[in-house]
Amino acid sequence: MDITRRQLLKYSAAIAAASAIGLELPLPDKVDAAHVEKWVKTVCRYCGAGCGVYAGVDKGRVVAVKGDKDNWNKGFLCIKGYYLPPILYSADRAKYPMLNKGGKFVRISWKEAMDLMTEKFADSIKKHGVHSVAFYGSGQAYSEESYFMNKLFKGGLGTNNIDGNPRLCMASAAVGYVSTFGKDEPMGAYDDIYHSECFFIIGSNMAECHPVIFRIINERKQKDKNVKIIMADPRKTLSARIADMHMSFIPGTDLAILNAMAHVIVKENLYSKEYVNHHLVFKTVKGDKPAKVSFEEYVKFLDEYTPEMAEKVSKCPKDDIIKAARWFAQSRATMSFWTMGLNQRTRGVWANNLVHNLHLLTGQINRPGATSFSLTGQPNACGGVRDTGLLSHLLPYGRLVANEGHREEMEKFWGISKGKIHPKPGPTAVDIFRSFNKGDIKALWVACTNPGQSLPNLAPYRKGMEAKDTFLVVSDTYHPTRTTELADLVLPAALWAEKDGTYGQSERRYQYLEKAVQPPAEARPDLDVMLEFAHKLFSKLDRTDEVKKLFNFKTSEDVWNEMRLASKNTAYDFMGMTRARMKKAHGIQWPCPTEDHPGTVRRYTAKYGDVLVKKFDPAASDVSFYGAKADGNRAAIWLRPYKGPVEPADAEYPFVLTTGRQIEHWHTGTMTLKVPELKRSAPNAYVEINPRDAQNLGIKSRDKVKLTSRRGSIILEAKVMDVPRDGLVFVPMHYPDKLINQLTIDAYDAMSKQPEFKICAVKIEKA
Amino acid sequence: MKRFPMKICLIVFSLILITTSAVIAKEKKHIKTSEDQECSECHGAQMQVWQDGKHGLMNVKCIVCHGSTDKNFTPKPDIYKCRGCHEEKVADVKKNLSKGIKTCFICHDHHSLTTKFHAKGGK
Repeated sequence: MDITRRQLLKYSAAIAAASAIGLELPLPDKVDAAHVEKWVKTVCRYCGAGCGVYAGVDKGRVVAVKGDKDNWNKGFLCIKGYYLPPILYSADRAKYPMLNKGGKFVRISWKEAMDLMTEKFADSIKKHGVHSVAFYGSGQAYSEESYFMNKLFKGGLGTNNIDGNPRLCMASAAVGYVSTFGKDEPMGAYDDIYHSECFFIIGSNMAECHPVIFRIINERKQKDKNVKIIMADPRKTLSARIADMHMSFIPGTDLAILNAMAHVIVKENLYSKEYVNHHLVFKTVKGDKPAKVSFEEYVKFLDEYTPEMAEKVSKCPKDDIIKAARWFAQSRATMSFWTMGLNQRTRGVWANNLVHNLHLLTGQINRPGATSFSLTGQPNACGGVRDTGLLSHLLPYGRLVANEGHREEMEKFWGISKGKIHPKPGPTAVDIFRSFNKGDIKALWVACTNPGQSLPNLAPYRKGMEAKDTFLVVSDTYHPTRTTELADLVLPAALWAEKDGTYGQSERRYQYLEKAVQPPAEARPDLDVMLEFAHKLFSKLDRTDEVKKLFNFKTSEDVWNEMRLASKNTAYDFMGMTRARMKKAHGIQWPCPTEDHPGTVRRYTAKYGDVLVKKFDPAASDVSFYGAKADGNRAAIWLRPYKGPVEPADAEYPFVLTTGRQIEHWHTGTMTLKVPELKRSAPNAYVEINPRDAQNLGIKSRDKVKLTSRRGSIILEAKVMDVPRDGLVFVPMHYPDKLINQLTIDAYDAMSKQPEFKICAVKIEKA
Repeated sequence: MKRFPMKICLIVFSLILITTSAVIAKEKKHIKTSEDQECSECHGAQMQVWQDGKHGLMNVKCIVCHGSTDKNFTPKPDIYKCRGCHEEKVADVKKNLSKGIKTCFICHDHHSLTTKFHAKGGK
């Protein structure tokens, strides 16, 4: 059979087209598109390092990403930041409000959702009082959102039933800073890395959890052979690759080591007499109350903490402890970093105090390269929760609920009646969920966090969230998550790049995130929803006349401007950070009191640029811990005795379980597990066990292993690696199908209320 | 109108099909792997070189340059893969495209990242 030329051409085109359709074309979730219409300045969605990022937009989608070369990260990103764009386009984005009808989620309109939600909250308030409702927020929400909700609950409703997930990660660091220095937040900056000669890194796997900061430290070491790095961790992680000394110890015994280092410093006369005489007070606790003691009493307290004693308790060689103390004290400038290894402990505040002690005792502080630097886990735990005062014991910008003067300041500022702010701090994270379980809290709104996976001793809290006699609303960008699946009502939220607002990262750098693209379908920015909630709720409570005064905000910039005013004349003062300035800047570090102020790299030192020294302590020539007015602007060295974890290993449960992160994933994996590349690189949970323990138990890599604690058990595949010390196993926290928090313990630090995620006792057997 | 015998048409159609496939599928697919298979099981030598280099130390893992074995697999990344962290260097390369420098890997070894050509101090 012959065909005509016209037919030949027609059939040829069809074949070419058909073969193109049949083949896999470039996917829409690209990160490296060649063509980008515009680059939008923003910040990474993930860790508290807070890398500057540009989102590349083409035809209404984010198709590329690049690091901000003019920000502190100098254009570098880690693999998670590199793969940001696909998180926006996952098939399980929450797109519509969903109502749980007998276990089935049914789409409803926003009007129905908000009417129902405000009805439930208003009813509960009318029948059971204002303390029957609560809000659980997040260190991933924008600062404007957290400030707004804090004002709504504490100022508008008059309840302190508002807390956030930084209670699970940063509370001990926050209370540590406040108890030592009078005010929260690090006084140093990443810039100190470039000047430091000794890094003391404890309880932090920086290489995987804060990789871009790790990069700068490595770069510093490559440039200067005098630099010493001490890595103190019961696991010999990837971070230890650049260490000059790895200090290994039994988990939870580090308080003995830190006191022993102080012991060496004092005995060998390596302490700073200038600091001891002019900048410090010494404190202990006598009968539940803080009491001042002398330097001599501190020295006597340290007598028992010999390197030998610390070695006996911790199994860290005494020579390592002595060497670490000498390196710390004698280097030209020493910088400490720590994160969850110290914070997620029942003695987390004490551990923080003891690191600060070393810096204060040696004078390794308040000058370039010398500082004690707490690394933050979430992108906005600092700016959004600690600083705005969302935690249940706080008010904005360094003020406390329990302080009558602070309450009056905020009542005046917010234009509410005297006595409106409840004088008693509210329940903290774990206790909010305990109260929800009991039914004392009847209506709970959870936003931008995943407690159905992240709470310790998870099982009873999941049961409580599922109960039918209480009302749970969850705002999230995805559905289902391990929390939205338990909700009565799910509200779809806009994600990174889909709304504008502010993040504040570890080094006091506030950064503006510009909106780059529209959220999908009916997903909305949380602030929009919060504003509508406030207006509708107050209308149902017959308080419509107050709403215009209290919540007169149309945009997130309106909220930001009120926040600036709330910070004015405090230690946080960021009046100078107008929105216009923030849009141009690559972040600005507070304090920044005026529009022409460049921001403050180092606090508490007039010589190195903190203008608030002169304001709050005019008599000081240079160093002033002006947050500690009651102690004469002096920082406190605390006498903290050694106390181990609440549940160490024992005969019945002979291993310690610790949890943490891998570089591919972030927190509960709701975003990173959506990215095919990150998921392929780290697809599943596992238990990391060292070769000696594995051999004793007859376990090989890939064997199925059962881990059991007093609270639950789990089956995981083993990975035999010479990383954890003997008697320790590690499980990553990211995987929704392997809820490791069913095993962890919800005992918490008495001062910070932060749970001891890092240490509980387990037994192991082949499954 | 000119008419073509079917035999000739079939040859022409096959050539079109092969050519179109070759043009569009410029990147090969990775062989099928199971979820728990790690790159090091088959690519041990490259992984060791990578591990000893800067990308290895900084955990810039295989997926950054090569995508996933299942999706977006890229055996030979182009310069836009490097732009995420190295924007200025990529811009430099783009300026020199006419000189035949099309990718970073003309000068940099793929896995160790060491430069092949110039002596110490060269640009």
